[in-house]
Amino acid sequence: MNRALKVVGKLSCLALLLLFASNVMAQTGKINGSVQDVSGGPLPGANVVIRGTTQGATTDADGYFAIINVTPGSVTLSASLVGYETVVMQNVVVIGAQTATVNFRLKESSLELSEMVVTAERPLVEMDKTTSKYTVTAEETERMLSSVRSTAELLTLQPGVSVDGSNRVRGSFTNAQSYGNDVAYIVDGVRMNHNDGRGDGGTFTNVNRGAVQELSVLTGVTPAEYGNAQGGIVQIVTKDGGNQYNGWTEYRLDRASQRHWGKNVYDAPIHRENIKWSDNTWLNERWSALNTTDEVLKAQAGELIHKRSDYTDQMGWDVEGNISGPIVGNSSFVLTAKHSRLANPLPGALQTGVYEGNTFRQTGPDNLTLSGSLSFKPTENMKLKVGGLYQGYEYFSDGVPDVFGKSRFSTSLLGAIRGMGDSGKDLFLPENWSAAGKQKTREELQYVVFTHTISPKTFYEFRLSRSRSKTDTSGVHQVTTLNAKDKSNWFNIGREAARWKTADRQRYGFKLDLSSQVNKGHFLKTGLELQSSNIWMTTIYNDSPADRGLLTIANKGTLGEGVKPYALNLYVQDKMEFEGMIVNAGLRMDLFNANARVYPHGAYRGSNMFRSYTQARDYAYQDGSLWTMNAKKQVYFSPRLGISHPITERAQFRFSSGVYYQWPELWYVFGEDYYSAGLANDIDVNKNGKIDETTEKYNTLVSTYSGQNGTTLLRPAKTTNFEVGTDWNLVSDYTVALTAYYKSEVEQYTQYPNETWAGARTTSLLYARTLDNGAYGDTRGLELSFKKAFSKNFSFNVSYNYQWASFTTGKRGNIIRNVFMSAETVKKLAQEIAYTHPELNVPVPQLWVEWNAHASGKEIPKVMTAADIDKYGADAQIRYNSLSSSTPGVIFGTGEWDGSRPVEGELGNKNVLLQTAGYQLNFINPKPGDRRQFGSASFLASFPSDFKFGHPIVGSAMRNMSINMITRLETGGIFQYTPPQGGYPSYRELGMDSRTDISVEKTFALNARVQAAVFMDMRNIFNQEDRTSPNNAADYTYYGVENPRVIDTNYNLYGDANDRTAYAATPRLTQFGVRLTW
Amino acid sequence: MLAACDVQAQEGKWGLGGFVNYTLPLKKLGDRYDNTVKYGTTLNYVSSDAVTLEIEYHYSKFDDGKLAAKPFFYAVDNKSYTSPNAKSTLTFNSLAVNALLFLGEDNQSHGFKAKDYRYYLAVGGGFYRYNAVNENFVAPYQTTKPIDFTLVMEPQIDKRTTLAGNVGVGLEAFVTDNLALDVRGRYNFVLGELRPMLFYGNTDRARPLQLFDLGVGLKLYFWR
Repeated sequence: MNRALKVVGKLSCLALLLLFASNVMAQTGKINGSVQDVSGGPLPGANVVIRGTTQGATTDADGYFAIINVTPGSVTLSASLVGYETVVMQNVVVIGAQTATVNFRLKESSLELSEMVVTAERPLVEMDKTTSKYTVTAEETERMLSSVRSTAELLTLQPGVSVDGSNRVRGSFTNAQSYGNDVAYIVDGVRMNHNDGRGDGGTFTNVNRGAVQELSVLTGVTPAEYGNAQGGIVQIVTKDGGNQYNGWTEYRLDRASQRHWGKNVYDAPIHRENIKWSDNTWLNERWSALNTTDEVLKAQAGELIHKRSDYTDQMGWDVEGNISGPIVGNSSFVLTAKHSRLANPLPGALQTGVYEGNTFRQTGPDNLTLSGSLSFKPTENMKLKVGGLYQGYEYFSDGVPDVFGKSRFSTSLLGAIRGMGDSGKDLFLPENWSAAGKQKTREELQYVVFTHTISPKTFYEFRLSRSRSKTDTSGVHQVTTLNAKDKSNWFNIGREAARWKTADRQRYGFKLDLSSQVNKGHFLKTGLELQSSNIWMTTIYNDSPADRGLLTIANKGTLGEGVKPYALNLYVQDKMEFEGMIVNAGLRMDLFNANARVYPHGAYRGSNMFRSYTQARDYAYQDGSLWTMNAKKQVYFSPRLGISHPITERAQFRFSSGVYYQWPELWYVFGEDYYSAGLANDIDVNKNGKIDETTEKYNTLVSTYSGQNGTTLLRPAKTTNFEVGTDWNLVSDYTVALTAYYKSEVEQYTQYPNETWAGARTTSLLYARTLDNGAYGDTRGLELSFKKAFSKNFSFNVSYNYQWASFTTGKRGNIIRNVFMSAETVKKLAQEIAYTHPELNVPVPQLWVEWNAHASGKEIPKVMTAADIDKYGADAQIRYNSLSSSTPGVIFGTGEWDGSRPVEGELGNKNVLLQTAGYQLNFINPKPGDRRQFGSASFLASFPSDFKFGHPIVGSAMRNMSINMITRLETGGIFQYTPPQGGYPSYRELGMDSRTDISVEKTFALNARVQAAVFMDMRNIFNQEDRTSPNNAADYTYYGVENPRVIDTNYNLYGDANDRTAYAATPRLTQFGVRLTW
Repeated sequence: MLAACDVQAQEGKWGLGGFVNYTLPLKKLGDRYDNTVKYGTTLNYVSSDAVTLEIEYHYSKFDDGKLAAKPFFYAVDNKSYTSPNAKSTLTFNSLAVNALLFLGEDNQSHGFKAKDYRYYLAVGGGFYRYNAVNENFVAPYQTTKPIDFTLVMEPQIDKRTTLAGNVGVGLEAFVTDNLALDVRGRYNFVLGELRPMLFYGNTDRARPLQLFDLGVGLKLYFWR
């Protein structure tokens, strides 16, 4: 009966809660347990203390204690009571957001100060874990320093995280254009990455290895404390400096070798007969004096053009180090730094000085990544931590506007920078030069965390943070000239390029969290977070004198003036403990306000009123205009729930579910995309013989007809996540975790809608694009983690996912959007004066088509005459008749008109209408980058200084040696395929790829405090050459052929033009290193 | 009891062995190749009376793969042909670390004595290197009639050094105190893939590669 009542009680609590979940105490952990005498009787009043601190608790009548707000890491606990022997428990491992349970048994003793020391064993199954979470401790990280070069690489070894370096979590959209990064990187409770940079800003996620105390990947239901991350959370807790000075410094030498497959690029088939090493005329061709203002190009005159670079003979190196220790009193510091000068794997503007991220490689000889913190405890109950992260480098820019790619047709400018661009024709451009100048990128984050424990059961934390992503370009040109060629008219020899970017994104955050162990069964945490930003971006990407482009994020079109969106988030979460069962429940509120005046419909950009950049800037955003609107606040609630229950003493079962919202990349809220439509020059409107900077500049740049622009009507993408799993300690320290997961993804973004102005107009090609919430998908999978903790000189960690991640843009209304109106509406709007322009003092109607020149250089709207109204009204009525009669029906075979509805805002009341059409159904596609199966296996063997094995020589050689072998494996990319016999297309996989790395390290003790280690880190030891993109995917499936067909005459003459690029991993590469640890 | 003491006295002993296996490719690998013979050698280390560790190298080659004889459809004249000189082979060169687990106290007390035997569970893993080559397959994408049998595709090669696991049971029968006959049956699971060739008998990819071995070997325990 008692048991039945307890079960009913548990279920009742669950039913009553109606809350949903998350882990609590994300940055700190908790220790609880009991103190008993040897017979198992509770010992009330016993003191349990964390040695070296004043943190502790006194046991209650049941002998129970709980210590909250414990910094992650290994601690020593002691339990004491008068008349009993003190028990000291060493090596108690505390993990953020988890509870470490420690039970003491005290023996009666008459001796004062008697003490028994016990070493705790880390529980291999965390019974209070309610969702998938994989944690790597500082100790584990330090064991793999030779083989894992960055924290990002460490992530790729965790279950659920893709092994290709993109760090997608369970099929997430990480780094997809519309979302930015949908995995949030949180350092000491502060978000590092922000999706406000059109792909190239706010993507800073790198924390140097020496700074990391604990790294966790939450692939399942993440805490309610964190939002705007539908993919997952990477949580990093940084170290505090201890009471001794210590650290390590590592130098790696990157051996010279060819770092790509295929032939040396100077002999590669891509150049066919155009490289003529045996032709002296070609070899002796020299730069002529180019008609240019570029000093580097001028200085090239008379120099040999076709010079071969020894790019495969370049060595590289990088150095990383950290130091930590006490300062004065109760303060300490940690400082880490990393600098890379790796070799460029291909000929480029610079041959060395490459900085290598997980998924990109960038020449930046001045690159530097820093992190540091100061920790200070003014009193025993207070802690102040001031931290900072920095990453910066300057590089010769290739002129590509951003990582999204140019908004129109090409992504790079040929003849702009030495390298493999323009199919290798840029190979002989000058070194140390770019037509597009040098781009400087700086990412920084500063934060303050103040923690105040106001009672043994309650503490609060507040965080202030500021981050900034700043980009600027130096050495820019004003125009883009035509590309010059060598005499064979094949290789590019240089040009000037007006392609530059300047952007500044500053973000400020305030977060207040209150945590309390309300009673034995409830640990409550609640908090609020305010985030505000100031963001602007100006990018010029001119391809030629007549082909100019402008990308902007700017407040009301004023370049360099930032938009200031803000977010306010609230959450409450409760970790409930019911005799073994744990319930994590939480609820989060996300409020976002774009805080800007913008077009609700992209189609308005196509009207004659706002077609050009200057017209939109001068007339769209004025008070009184109905064509723009102040953004509305958006509020969403996301519940989370997680439950775990022990099955046996060594196994637990868990279930969790939660809702996540992901705001779009802010480009798609604020961005504007203009181009010149073939017009080389701006128009001198006031005929004063010059282009006036403030009124006429960019006045021929018009909204790009296929460009992607911002809208505040976007709703956040939504994901609902479910998972069930079990953690099981099989035997000894072998554990397995198996999880089944399902993610339902709705309201996702599609980029297709063509928004066309179908009202009064003078031209027909008038559409722009904005995102739409029409896409959806789902992800299902199984996730396996099989690991052995380090003991008996070895450990291993196996991660494996079997997953289906699919996606479709299919929804009605996401292909075409027409804004249209009747002749009557044209008349009404044309006769309504919206406002008097504050500078020009001219009346501006709600609708106009034509313009007059003004002495200032601005164009001013021409108020329509009766004749104009008749003319443009009749024009609009033709489309009105057509579109309003297009009741739902079939278009495009599988598409359908949706009918029409009023547009957003006041214009809707004035009968301005929106007609939409789209596909009823699109095929479900695999997500970009999806792999059905992926995983990794890492094996570590490490032998202590007293290790003995076999013959003494063998044993001695193995002492202080560690070997780490890591294999990553994924099945092939997915492509659409039509069977040989015809019929419906389906999806098939390309070939799998794998890579095995090994590192071997030998450590020598130099003295009692200093150790030296030498190591070798070899990538792709088996030189596995996996072609991930065959010449023709269907041929691969039909005939098993990866190269071009043998009947391909070019292939037979020259070989495979893709012999360099189509592979998963680089050839075998080796680094040698030395590390000093003290 | 005396026997158990004898076995415990063998701890730390090394041995060298050789074996011959009959190997059966399973599942989709079996659709491509017939059975073959695997040769190998082992270096053994008696870790305890319950566990012997073994480093194994083995080699096997599957000749006369079935794909070589499979017809393909030539759309130009709507007829099916086979490639006259086609050859399909698969070679394994592998290195594995195995644990021979001698279960049961009584079982553990046997061995290392002439005419004595003990059984074991074998669990292992390592890196298997495979090299699958299909060559001289007539190019079916020709466009002229009649088909040119001398126009063959480039060899289709799948080669990889990859993780593999094996599990099985065996019996170690001692001929002398130090020479043992080893009979073993094992299932091998190789994380590899052979490419699809749908034009040749609708042959889809083979992944993973699965094989079953049945074999016999001799082990000489010689040094301690």
